[in-house]
Amino acid sequence: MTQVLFLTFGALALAAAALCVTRRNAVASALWLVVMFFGLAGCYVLLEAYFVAAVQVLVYAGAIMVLFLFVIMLLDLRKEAPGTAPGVPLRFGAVAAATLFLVVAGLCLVDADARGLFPDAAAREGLTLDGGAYAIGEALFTRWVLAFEVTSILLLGAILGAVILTKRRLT
Amino acid sequence: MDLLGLRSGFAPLLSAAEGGPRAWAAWGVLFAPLAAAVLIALWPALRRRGGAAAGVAIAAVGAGLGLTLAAWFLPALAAGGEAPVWEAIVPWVTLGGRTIISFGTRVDALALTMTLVVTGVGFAIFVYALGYMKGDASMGRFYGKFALFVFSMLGIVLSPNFFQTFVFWELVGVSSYLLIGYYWQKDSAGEAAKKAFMTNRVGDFGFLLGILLVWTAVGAHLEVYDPAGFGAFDFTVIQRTLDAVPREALFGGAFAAALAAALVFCGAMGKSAQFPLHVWLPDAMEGPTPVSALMHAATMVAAGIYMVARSFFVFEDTTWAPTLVAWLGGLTAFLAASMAITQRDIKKVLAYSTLSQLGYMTMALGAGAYPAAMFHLTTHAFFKALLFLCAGSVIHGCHHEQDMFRMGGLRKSMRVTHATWAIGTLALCGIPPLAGFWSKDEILAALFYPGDARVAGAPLLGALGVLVAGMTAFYMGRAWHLTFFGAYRGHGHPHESPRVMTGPLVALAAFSVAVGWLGIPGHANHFGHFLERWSVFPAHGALHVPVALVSVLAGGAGLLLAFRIYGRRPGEDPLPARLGRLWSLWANLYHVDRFYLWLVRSVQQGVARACWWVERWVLIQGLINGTSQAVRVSGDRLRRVQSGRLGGYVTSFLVGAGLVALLVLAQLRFVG
Amino acid sequence: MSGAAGLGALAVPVEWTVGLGLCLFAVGLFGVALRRNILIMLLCVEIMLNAANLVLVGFSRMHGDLGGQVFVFFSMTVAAAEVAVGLAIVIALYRLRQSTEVDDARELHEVDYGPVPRLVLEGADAHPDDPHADAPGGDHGAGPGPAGAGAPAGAPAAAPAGAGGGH
Repeated sequence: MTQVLFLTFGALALAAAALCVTRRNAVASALWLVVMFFGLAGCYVLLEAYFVAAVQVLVYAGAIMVLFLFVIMLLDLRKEAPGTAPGVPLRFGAVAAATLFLVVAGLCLVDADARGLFPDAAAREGLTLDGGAYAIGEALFTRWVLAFEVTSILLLGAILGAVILTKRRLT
Repeated sequence: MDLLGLRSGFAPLLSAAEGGPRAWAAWGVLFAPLAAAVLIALWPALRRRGGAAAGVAIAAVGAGLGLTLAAWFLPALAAGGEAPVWEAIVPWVTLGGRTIISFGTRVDALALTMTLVVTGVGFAIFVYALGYMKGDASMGRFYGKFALFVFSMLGIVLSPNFFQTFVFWELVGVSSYLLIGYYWQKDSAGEAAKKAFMTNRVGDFGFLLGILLVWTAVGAHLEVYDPAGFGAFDFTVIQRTLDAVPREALFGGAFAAALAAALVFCGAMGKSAQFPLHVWLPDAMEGPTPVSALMHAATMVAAGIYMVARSFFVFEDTTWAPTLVAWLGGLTAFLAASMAITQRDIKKVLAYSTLSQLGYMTMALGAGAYPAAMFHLTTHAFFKALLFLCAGSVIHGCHHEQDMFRMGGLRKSMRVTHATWAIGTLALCGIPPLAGFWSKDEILAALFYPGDARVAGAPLLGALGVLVAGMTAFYMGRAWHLTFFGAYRGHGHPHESPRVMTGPLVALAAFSVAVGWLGIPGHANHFGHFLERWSVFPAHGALHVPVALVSVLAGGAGLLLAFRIYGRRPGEDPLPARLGRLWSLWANLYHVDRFYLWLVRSVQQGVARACWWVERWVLIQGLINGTSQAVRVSGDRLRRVQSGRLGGYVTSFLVGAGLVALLVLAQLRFVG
Repeated sequence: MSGAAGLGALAVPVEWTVGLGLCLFAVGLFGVALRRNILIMLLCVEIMLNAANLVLVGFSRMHGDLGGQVFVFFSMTVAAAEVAVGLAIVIALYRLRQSTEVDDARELHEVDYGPVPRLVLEGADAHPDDPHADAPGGDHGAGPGPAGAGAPAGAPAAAPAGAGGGH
C-alpha cells in the first residue's frame, strides 16, 4: 500500500514538474509547481518524514510560491515570445550537456545499486526513525544549533538584499 | 654544518706532530702578507703613498722570512734535522661531529724549504721592486697585489690538506691575474691576464676532479686512518691510507688510481705551465718585471711542482701516471728550449727558459726523484729570480727597451748587472760549481739510473735532458752575447741601475752560487737529508760522474756555440736563414697558440653560437615569449566565454557537472 | 522486502526515491537549459532543489539518521533566501529592461578589443652575424593573435536566443 501510494504521488509530482516546465504562461507554471510540491509532500509522508512534509507545504507551497505568484502578477508578464534562431546552438549545447550529465548520473545509480550500495529491506530492519516535529526539533536545537543560528544570519542577509535590490533609489 | 668550526671550539687538533706557539707562528708567517694587502687596500692614504705601502709589504714578507728562520730553520739545523713536524690545524667544516675539512698550517721539511724560498726570494724581489717601480703612480696598488700573491703562495706551501691547497691555488690564480694585468691601460696586458687565468682554470678543473676522486677513495677508510680527525683531504691521512690499502681496492682499479693521479697533475700542468697548458706563461711577461721574477722563481710556477712533491704518494705505484708526468715534462723542456732560441725579447727568453726548467722538474717528479725536483726548484728560484731581476735592470737601464737586438755592449756600462747575469747564466747552464749544476745533475742521474721508479723510457728522457741542457746553454749564451757584448745598438745611453736594485742582485747571485752546495751528492747532501729526515723522500746516492761530465760538456758546448755564432756579426741573427723551416716552426711556437685560437674560434665559438641560438630562440622566444604569448592568446580566446548570456554559463556548469559525474562513474566502475 | 518491524513491511525502496529524485532533477535541468524566462528558470531551480531534498530524505531513512531531514530543513531555508534575493533581482531587472528574458541582460561580458598584439623580441638583431637576426621575432614564438578586428566574437557569443521551451 505504501509503495502504491508512493508511486502515485511520485508520478503526480513528476507530471506536475513536467507541466510546470513546459507551460508558456508563468502563472500556470507556478501553479503546476504548487501541485508538484504537494506531490512531494505526500512522498515525504510516505517516507515517514512528517515534519519535512509539513514544512514543504507550509514554506514552499505556502510562502515561496505565493511570493512567486505575487512577483509574476506584479510584473504583468506577457507570454514568452517564440524565439528566433540565434540562440539555438547554445540551447542544444546546454541540452546535450544536461543529457550527458543525466545519463552518466543514471549509470552511476545503476552501478551503485548493482554493487549493493543501497541496502535492501532486510538490512534496514530494526532501524527506526521518528521524523516527527519533536525529534527534528530536538536535533535542530542540540546537534545542529550552530547551523540553525547561522541560518538566521543568512535569512537576515537575504531580507536586506531583497530590500536594497528592489528600492528605487538608495538615499 | 659547522662552518668556521665555531661550535667545536677553536682548539688545534694535534697528532703525533708538535703544536704549541712555534707551530702557531706559521699562521703569523701566512697572514702577515694578507694583513699588509688588506691594510693597503683599505687605507687610502697608505695606498696613495707608494713608498709607505711598499714599506708595509716589505716588512710583512721580511717578518715572515725572519720568523721562518728563527722559529724553525735555525732550530732544525741546530737539532741536526731531528725536529718534529709542526702542526696548527683547526676544524673548518664539520658535519655530524666529524671534521670534513680542516684549515691550518703544517711545517715539515718540504714546507719549510719552500717557505724559505718564497719569503727569501720574495723579500729580495720586494726590495728590488722599490727601485724598479719608482715613479709609478700606483705603486701602492702594486705592493698590495704583490703581498696578496705571496700570501696565496704561502697558503699553498703551508697547507696541510688538498682542500686548502685548492683554495689558495685559486687565490694564486686570482692574484696572478691581477698582477699580469697590472698595466691595465695596455690591451695586451689585459689579454695576457685573461689568458693566464683561463688556461689555469682548465688545469684547475682537472685538479678539482682529481682531488675529489682521491677524497672519495680515502673517505671510506676514515675511521681507521684519521685518528686526529683532520678529514679525508688531509695529506697525512691520504698518505697513511694509500700506504696501507691497495690502490686497486681504494679507487676501484689500477686505471682509476692512475687517472686520479693524472687529474691531480692537471693542476700542476696549469700552474707550472706544462706542455698543453704552457701558453700563458710567456704572455705573463706583460706584468712588471718583478712580478715576472716572483712568478717564475718562487711563487706561481713553483706551486705545481711543490704540489706534486707534496702529494707524491698519490702518484707513486700507479701504473701510468709517472710515465705521463715524466714525458710531459720532457716534452715541455724540449719544446720550450727550442722556442727560447727564437725569441728576441729578453724577458721572453727567460720565460721560455723557465718553462724548460719546469719541464726538468716535472721529469724528476715523474721519475720519483722528488728531492731532486725540489732541489732544482730551489736553486732555480734563486738564479731565475736573479736573471729576471738582471733583465729588469737591463730594461731599466736601456730606457724600457726589451729587444735584445737593440741592446749590446752593456758589460761596460752595467758592470754589476753583467757580473750577476753571468753568474745566473752559468748557474742555469749547469756549470760547476754553481747551483744549477748540482740540481740538474741530480735530475739527470735520477733519469739515467731510475732504480725501481715506474717511469717508462727513463734513459731516453735522460738523453733528452742532456740535449735540452745543451740548448739551454745555447739560448742563454745567445742572450748573454746579444745583451752584454758587442756594441750598443739601442737609443740613448745605458746606465747602471740604482743600489736598491743591484743590492738584491748581488744577494741572489751569492745564493745562486751557494745554494747548490747544500745538495752535493754523497755525504754532503744536506738538502736531500733535510727532506729525508722529515718526510719519506728517498735521497739519491753518490755523484754520477759520467752523467755530470756529459751534462757539463753539453752546457759548455752550447755556450761556446752561441758565442761563436753571434760573435761573428753582432746584432744579426744568422740562424733563421740557416735553420729554415725548423726555425719558423720554433718561432711560431709549434703553432700551439694558433691551434688554440682555431679551437676557440671554431669549436668553442660554435658551441657558444649553438648555446646562444638555443637560449635565444628556444628559451627566450620559445619558452618565455611563447608562454606569455600563449597566455595572451588563450586569454583573448577565453574572454569570449564571458558572453554575459546565462545559457552559456548553464552549459559550462552542466559540462562540469557531467565531468564530475563521469569521475564518480569511473571510480565506481574501475577503482572501488 | 520482508521486514516487518520498524520502517514497515511495504516500505519504499531507497532506489525509488533516488530514481524519482533523478527524474525530477532532469526535468528541472532541462527547464533551466531550455527556457529563457528568468522566472521560469527560477522555478526550475526550485524543482531541482526539491529533487535533491527528496533524495536527502530517502537516504536519511536508509541510514536511520535524522541529519538528512535536518539538512532538508536548512535547504528549504536557503531556498527561501534564494527566492527572496532572486525575485528582488528579477524586479530590479524588469525595471531596467521591461523584460524577464535572460538574453536581454548581458552587460556582464567582455568587450572585444581586437587582435592581441604580436610580441617582437627586443634587439632581435643583437647578434650581427647571426643568420636569423633579421627574421621577425614573432615567427618563432606562439602564433600571432587570432581573429582580425572584424571577426565574430567567438563561439559562445550568439545573438539573442532562439528556440526556447515552446512546443
